[in-house]
Amino acid sequence: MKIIIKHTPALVFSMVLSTNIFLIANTHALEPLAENELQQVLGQGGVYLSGDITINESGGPLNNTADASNPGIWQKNCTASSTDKRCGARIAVNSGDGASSGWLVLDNIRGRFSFEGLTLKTRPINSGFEGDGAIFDADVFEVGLPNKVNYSNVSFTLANSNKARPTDANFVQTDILNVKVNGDVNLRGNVLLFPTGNP
Amino acid sequence: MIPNIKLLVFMTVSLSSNVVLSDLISLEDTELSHVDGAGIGIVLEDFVFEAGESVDGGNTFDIGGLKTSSGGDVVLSISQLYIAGADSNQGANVINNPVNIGRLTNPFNLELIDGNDVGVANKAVFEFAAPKTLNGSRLSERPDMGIRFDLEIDGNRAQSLEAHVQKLSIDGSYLRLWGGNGRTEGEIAFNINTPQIDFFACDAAGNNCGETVTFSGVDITAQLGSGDFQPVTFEVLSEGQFVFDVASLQGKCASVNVSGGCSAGSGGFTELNEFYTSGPRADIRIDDVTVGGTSFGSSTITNLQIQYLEVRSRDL
Repeated sequence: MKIIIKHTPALVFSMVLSTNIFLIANTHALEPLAENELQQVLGQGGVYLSGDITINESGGPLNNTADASNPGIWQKNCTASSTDKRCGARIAVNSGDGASSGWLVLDNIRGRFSFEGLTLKTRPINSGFEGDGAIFDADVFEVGLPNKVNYSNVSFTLANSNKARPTDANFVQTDILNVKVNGDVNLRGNVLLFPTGNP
Repeated sequence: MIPNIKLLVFMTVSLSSNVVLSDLISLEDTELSHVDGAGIGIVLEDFVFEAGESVDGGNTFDIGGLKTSSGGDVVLSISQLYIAGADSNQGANVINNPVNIGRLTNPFNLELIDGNDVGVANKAVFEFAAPKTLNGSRLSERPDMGIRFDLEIDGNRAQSLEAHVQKLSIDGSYLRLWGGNGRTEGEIAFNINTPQIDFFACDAAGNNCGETVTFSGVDITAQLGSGDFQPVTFEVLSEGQFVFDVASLQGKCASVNVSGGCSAGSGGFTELNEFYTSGPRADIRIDDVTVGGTSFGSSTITNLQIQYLEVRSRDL
């Protein structure tokens, strides 16, 4: 099964999900299951995910240069030769302190991330971890990291800005740094999540 | 730490579909008070992280945006950024050298805590905390981390710089955030311990490395801010500049005496007295600093207390 979602307003992404469905033919009549038989049925095995996400590869909806008659739309040249590209997604955060405050911005977020083999499952731990496992003796939620994450022309800019949107009046922005990643990143191991305290 | 607030209450009600043998019974206050919303523990198991050009040939991992005084672009081109197990040999032994970070019995913790326990009156406080120092991370659970990057100025690779930290422990560190005075306020504690940090520079190809600057036995304990008495704030001003601020103590004392101190018994005296006797402070100890094998001896800074700090960015 392949699901492709395209052309959402702010970002364009496609995800491929693989599912195996087993159908078991049964020639017997239906019979009720006893309580103790049902208890033997375990829903387990977890989930194996592969993902491929592309964000704002060729600019977002604000970058619609086709409609020159609409001045409300913020237009910048997003082509490869452009020296002032602002094509990516933008996240602006205001930490408060009234009307005089500004915004911390992650701007120009674009590129493609892909990974294969992110697993999600629960797992009991009652041994190992240099003796901690036996003391812990409980279930954890395990996120199995995908070993390799591939970045393809992923970039973003960290900036300070006086307005949330570049379309706002008197917009001023100071870029602090740009990060560009292209290629593989090794990310191995498991992230274990569990409740703490004394519930 | 056992939070007093009831953050999350999950109630699972099972109803038998055909025969209901019992009615729903209301829960008493005493029963509900035993339901305790606790935090989320996080442990990294067999963890390895490695990014940069050296992972697979042809990768790029660039940090740009800096300029030289003459306007040339400065790019930090990261060759290797790694987190791995101990004895990584300055990033040579990474991929088959995993590490557990955090302990199942003492994990990294994400939690909403009662502000009254941490000097923030009548508020819920978000806390992200590293493992506690009591029964803290074992030596085998302390990762090696490091970075190798090339300095590229105006398109020319100038130099390769390296920094490697061995067996890093951040046990006892935390970040607390809460909403106060219409903004985000916080308190930060660093508790950094490492037997060795190395810095050195090589030529553009990563060869002919210079002398190594080594910090041995580094122990840094620093707390910035103190609850809502002296909160830390992170803000961006309306002109687009970043400000990091540790609040001033000015005006905390209701009555200043002739010698400039706070009059005993006046408003704020108790809090100020507590601030100066057991308030936030920084202690830094480095057992030995060596440059190219020559020892410069140990250095220690203790009882450094910040009364006011403001860091503000400016356009050049």
